[in-house]
Formats: sequence, C-alpha cells, structure tokens
Amino acid sequence: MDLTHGERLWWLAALPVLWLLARPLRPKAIVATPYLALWKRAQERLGRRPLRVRWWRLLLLAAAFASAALAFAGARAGHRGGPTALAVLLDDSASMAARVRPGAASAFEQAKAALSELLARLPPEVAVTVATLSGRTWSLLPGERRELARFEEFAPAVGATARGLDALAARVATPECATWVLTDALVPVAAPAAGALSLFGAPCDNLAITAAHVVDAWPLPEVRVEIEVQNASRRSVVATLAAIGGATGATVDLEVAAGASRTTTLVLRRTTGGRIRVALSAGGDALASDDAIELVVPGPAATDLAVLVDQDDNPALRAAAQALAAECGGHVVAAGASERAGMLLVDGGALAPAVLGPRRITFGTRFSSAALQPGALLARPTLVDWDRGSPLLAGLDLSELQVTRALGGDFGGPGQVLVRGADGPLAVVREWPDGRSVHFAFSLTESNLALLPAFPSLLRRAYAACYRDQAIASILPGVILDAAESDLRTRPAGLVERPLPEFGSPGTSLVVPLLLAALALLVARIYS
Amino acid sequence: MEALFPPPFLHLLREVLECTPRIRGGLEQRTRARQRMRAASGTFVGHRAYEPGDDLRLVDWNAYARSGEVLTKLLEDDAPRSLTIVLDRSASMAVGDPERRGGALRYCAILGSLALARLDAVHLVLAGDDQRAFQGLAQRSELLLALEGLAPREVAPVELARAVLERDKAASLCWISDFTEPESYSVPLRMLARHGRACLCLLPLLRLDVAPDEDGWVELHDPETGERQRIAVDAALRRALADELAVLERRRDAAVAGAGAQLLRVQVPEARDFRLLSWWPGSLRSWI
Repeated sequence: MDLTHGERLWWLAALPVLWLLARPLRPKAIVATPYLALWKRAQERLGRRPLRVRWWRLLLLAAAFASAALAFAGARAGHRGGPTALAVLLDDSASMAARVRPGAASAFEQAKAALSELLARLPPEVAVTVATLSGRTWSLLPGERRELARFEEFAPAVGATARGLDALAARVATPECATWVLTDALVPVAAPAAGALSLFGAPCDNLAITAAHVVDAWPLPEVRVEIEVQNASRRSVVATLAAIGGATGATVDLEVAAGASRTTTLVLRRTTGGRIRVALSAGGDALASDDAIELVVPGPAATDLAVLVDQDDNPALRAAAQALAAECGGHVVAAGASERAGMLLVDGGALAPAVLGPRRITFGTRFSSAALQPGALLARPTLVDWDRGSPLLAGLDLSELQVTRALGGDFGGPGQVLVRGADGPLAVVREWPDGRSVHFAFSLTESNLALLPAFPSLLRRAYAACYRDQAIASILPGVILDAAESDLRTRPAGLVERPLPEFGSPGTSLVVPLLLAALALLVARIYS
Repeated sequence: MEALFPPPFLHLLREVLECTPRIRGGLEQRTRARQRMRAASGTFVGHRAYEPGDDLRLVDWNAYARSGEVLTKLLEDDAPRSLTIVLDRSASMAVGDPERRGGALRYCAILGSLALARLDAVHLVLAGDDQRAFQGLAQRSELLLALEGLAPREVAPVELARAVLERDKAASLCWISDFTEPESYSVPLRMLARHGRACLCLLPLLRLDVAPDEDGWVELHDPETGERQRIAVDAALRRALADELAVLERRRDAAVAGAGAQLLRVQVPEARDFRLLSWWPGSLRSWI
C-alpha cells in the first residue's frame, strides 16, 4: 500500500490530541485517604462506575481516526511506479514515405502498424497522445477503447521535416510521461536522446528535385523552368524530366553523378496554361514525393487587341499592336468591336469616362467629351525622370524621349507615376480591381516614343501589367522537399532502438474501504 | 513546614505533666516501685553523662573523683516500670488535615513524657528491628527528637506484637494506629492478650474518619497502595461513604474488643490548637 498524498499523514500527529481529549477532567483537588476501598464500595452501592480512560474505546477512536487519515492521504493498493502517460512523436516527414523496394511497406506504414499494436496491448490507465511533426495530434484518455486505432488519416506530410525532433522529445519527456519516437532517422539531423526510440525503413537510393525556378515570358508562350536534380545514391543515374499539363515541351534526359546535383532548364510552350506537372523519372527511386513539382502558369494572352487612333496616318500603334498580337498568338480586331476586345490600345482622341477600366493602354487620350480648353496642352514638356524601380520601366532607357505636345496630366484619376515631367506626370499606371491600365499624356505621333528601342519592351510589359496577377507564373508551395529530407543514404552511426519503459499503474484506491472501516470502528465504539 | 513539636506544644507538655501527678501504670506497679528502690543499687551496666534531674544517688562519685566528670550510673532493673508505645508508621497515617501521623506522634510524645516523668522508662516499638528505650525525664528531649526523626515504614501488626512480647512483658502497652484494616489487628492483639498484656488502642481521629467533606470532581489517593481514583463526589456519595465509615468503626470496635483490648478514639486537634483540653481529653486522662 502506498499513498498519493503522503504529506497528509501528518494528521496522524493529532492522535495524542485524541488521547488528551479522552482523558477525564483535571480534578479540582487531590485528596489522600486510607479509605479508597470504601469510596469504591460506596460508588458500587450507588451503581456508579469509576470514571477512567477506557482504553478500548480510545483505541477504537484512534483506529477510526487513523483510517480516516489514511483515506485522506489517498491510500491505494497495487500501485506501481512509472510513467502514466505516453507521448508518441510520429515522424511524418516526407522521407517516411520512402519504400526500400517497390511494393514494400513504407516506413510510415510500418510505424503506424507498430503504434496500433502498442495501443492494443498498452495498460488502459495510460493516457496516450500521438503527435506528428506536421502538427497532427490524436489523444486517448485512460480507459478509452484503442483497439481500433489505425491512424488511417495520418500520412507523411510533404512539407514536414525531422528537424527539431530531438528537442521536442526532450521537452515532452517527464517522469510521468514516457516518450516514444517513431522515425526513420535517415535525415542527417540529431536523433532524440530522450525516451524510447523505434526506427523504421532503411537507407536507400533516391533521386529528387531539390530546387526549381520558373521564368515566364508571358505574354509570350515560352515558359522556362530551371530544375535542380539531386542524386542521393551511390551510382550515376540517367533521369528524364517531362512536363504534363497546360504546356508542351521537349523531354529532357540528364545524367546525374552519384551524390551530386545537376541543374537543367526545361523549355515549355504554353498551350492552355494552368497547372503543369514536371516529373522526374528514374529507376530505383525510393521516394516518389520528391520527384515532381507543379507549376501554375497563366494562360495565353488575350487573342484580340483593338486599336483606336484618331489619325488614320498613324501606323505606329497599329504596327505595335500587330507585333504584340503576333507574339501572343492573337490578332488585331476592328475598332468597332472594341467593347469585346481583351485589350484596347488608344492613340490620341478622347474617350468617355465610362470606357475607362482595366486593360487599357492610351497615348495622349483625353477622358472627357468636353472641348479642349486653351492651355490644356503643354508644348514640349520637359522630361524630368522615369521610375526605374517600376517593373514596367526597369532596365529601359527613356532618356531619348522627346515629346512635342502633351496633355495637362488628366488621366481620369490618380495613378502611379511612371514618367515625370517638369509640369506634371507624363505617364501613369492605374489600379483597377481586376487589372491595370497604363496612360501616357502624349500620343505616339507627337513624340518619338514609338521610335525608341525600349518601346516594344515597354508595350509588352504594359500589356502584361494590365493583366496583373493573372500573368505571374509560380511553383506550388510545399512541393519541393528539403534537400536533406531527400537524402536517404545514411543513418547516424551508433543509433539503436530504445524500448519503452515499464508503465506505472495507479492501483486500487482504498479511500472508500478506509472510510467505511472508520465508520464501522465508530459504530463499534458507540456500542462498546 | 511546621515543626512537629513547636514551643506551644512543649508548653502543653509541661501543662500535662503538671495536671497529671500520677498515672495508671504507677498505681498498678506500686509493688514494683519498691523493687525500683532496690534496683537503685542493682546491676551496674554503664555510665552516661549527668543531666539535670537525674537522681543524685545514681551519680558515680568515684568516677567523678577520678576524672572530674559527673557521670550517672546506669543500673539495669529486671522489671522497671515503663510504658510501651507501639507506633504505626505506615503510609496510611499520612492523611488528613491536620495529618493523622502528626497527631499520633504528638500523642506519643504526651504519653511518653508522662511515662518518663511518672514511671521509669518508655519503650518505643517501631518495628521488629527498631525499638528504642528512654529513661528518666531528662531524656524527654531525646524522645521528642526520636519522634521527629521517624520516617514512614510499613510494618505488619503481627511483627510489632512479637517485638512487644520480646521486649517487655510487664509494661503498660499503648498501640497508636489508624486501624484501617481492623481484622489485621485481631491476631496481634489476641497474642498480646494471651500474654496478659492489656493494650490500649489509640486511634487519632480525623474528620475523614467520620464524614467526608470532599465535593465535586476530586482525585483520591491511597498513600499506602499508591492507587489513584477520580471520583465525582456529591451528597449521595458522601452519605454512602458515611455509611461505609460507620461499618468500619463497628469492625474496629469488634476487632479490638474481641482481643480484650480497649479502643480509644481521640480527636486530633487543629493545627494551631495547643489547648490542654484539646490534647488531653477526659477519655485519655481517665485511662491514664
């Protein structure tokens, strides 16, 4: 028998108080007499019993009090020391999905099976918490059924790594809580030094995409994907990179030396855009989750460009539109169908404010139907500077820009200044909820902008900027593993499995029996 | 602690001697008085220093001539007139207020002083191995000192009776005790009676011998057995105890009378009461 609150046994120190309370009162006088026998006989004649401490009753009271004190101290039988809780740290990093050979169970599947088997034979008093490195948790209170725990919903998380596993295990481990780490320990990180450890899987060869970078030439159809391939094996491997999805492109074969990395570029041509899966294929690869990446590329640019010019003898904008349409794979539509065109290019003239919106590139266009006021035109405005940090103008040289006449800076609303003149902005880009519009204060006929070498790039960038985020290619997050996570070649030397400790048992509480015993003793005292 | 024999008591002793010119033992032993005269020239057993009051006829003048020191001859009488006092020193005597033991010693001093003044000697029988003899009035102070120095001691009554019979077979006999267990005195008193020793049993009487005055929650202590008992005393219990004490008195009377002795109850006066009438009551005076 042991006690859960041993310090409460100090209440037993109150037993002498019981003895003091059970003693008769202090007499008011002590009288010496030779006739004590006569006193006793006189008492007997009167049917009186001498007052004295009845040790039997005092013993019963003391036993009842001791029983109550033991119950208060939480007496229990069959208690066995040891942890009463189990924290299972299940490594669900991507490397746990590796299979030593095709068709074999992965390390994660083996770990789940071992966990289910342990839960089936674990004492029911042990509370269990399963936590994965990706943040999943699963708890089981004492006494709950656990035979059916199969952890079907648990799977290796692509983005999870085994880093910090040792620190987490050390933080969780306490004398009351045993820690059990289930891992493959193939990643070159510190293995947990605390708690039990079970190792699954085995070192194996793996080929992985460890880095990727996409360069999208939108609105051009070309998409270039730079891919780094790591060969974490003991032999040279010839792998094939191929794209599947909204682009077409040549398949690339590359040979990667043992233990080395190699970077190659996959040139794709956009068809429909959207998700493009670039997969790496090679024989003898243990881990499939690091063999592919997914890109999201914008679809091809709008196929119809409308051009409005106020002077028919202005070929510059039409030529630029034709060139742009040719690059994007589209075509120039008639001006009368401008409302249905994906992009509107305007040079000079005036537009109603209602026509203003995203995907508009205007050159010297007024946004008012009122007559042009005298003085609204600036003659030979002085170019002060242009925004070199803007994606539209980065790397472009506008120093040769000459403007003979420009409007007075009315762009139909505020916008980010691209080109600044001495008398006000000469070009701005405006933000709309679903795109942008770019406006120049001067027309192509009254400036030499169309003649500058930077004009095609400027027009192409303005075209892309009008589509804003829809024109940004990206790699889906989380699809590329940590390079260390893909290296499955070695396991730390000297790392051995450690068994689980013997679990403790709370035993059977003796509180109720002791209280009943105390009650019985008190009853016996009453009738004694 | 108050002295056992304070000056008022010594004064009382002188008063007792003055008012008692003769005692019963003197009359009964008149014939032996003549023998005492012969004994004045009897067997010489030794010397002791002269003390005022000694018979000048007993002064050893020859020794005085030789040494210049006045010595009194000690002559042994075969049958001196004496009083034998048997004193109970048991622990049960140390009860009461005033204490029965103190009263018993004072009565012993009174009787012993009378015997020293009117008879030849006093024998104090304290135990079988503790008997003391005093001769002459001059040894009254030794008697008082001896009484003051007595310590409690449990001695069986039969042993005391045997000591009396071995010591003196003719002297008057007074047994001072509380006679708490009267039946234990029957045998020794009968032994004395068979040897012709008339015995006066003197019981120094206390209030607790008649009616208890305890009240409330008290602890009773038997000094002889050491037993203690806590008792709630009320009027009913006091009445019941008074009945028991009355029965005890009858047992005392029966035990003493059955042995042909006489039981004399003398009340122990209060602590500061040294009046002659208190310590020298008529009952005791008549016996003397």
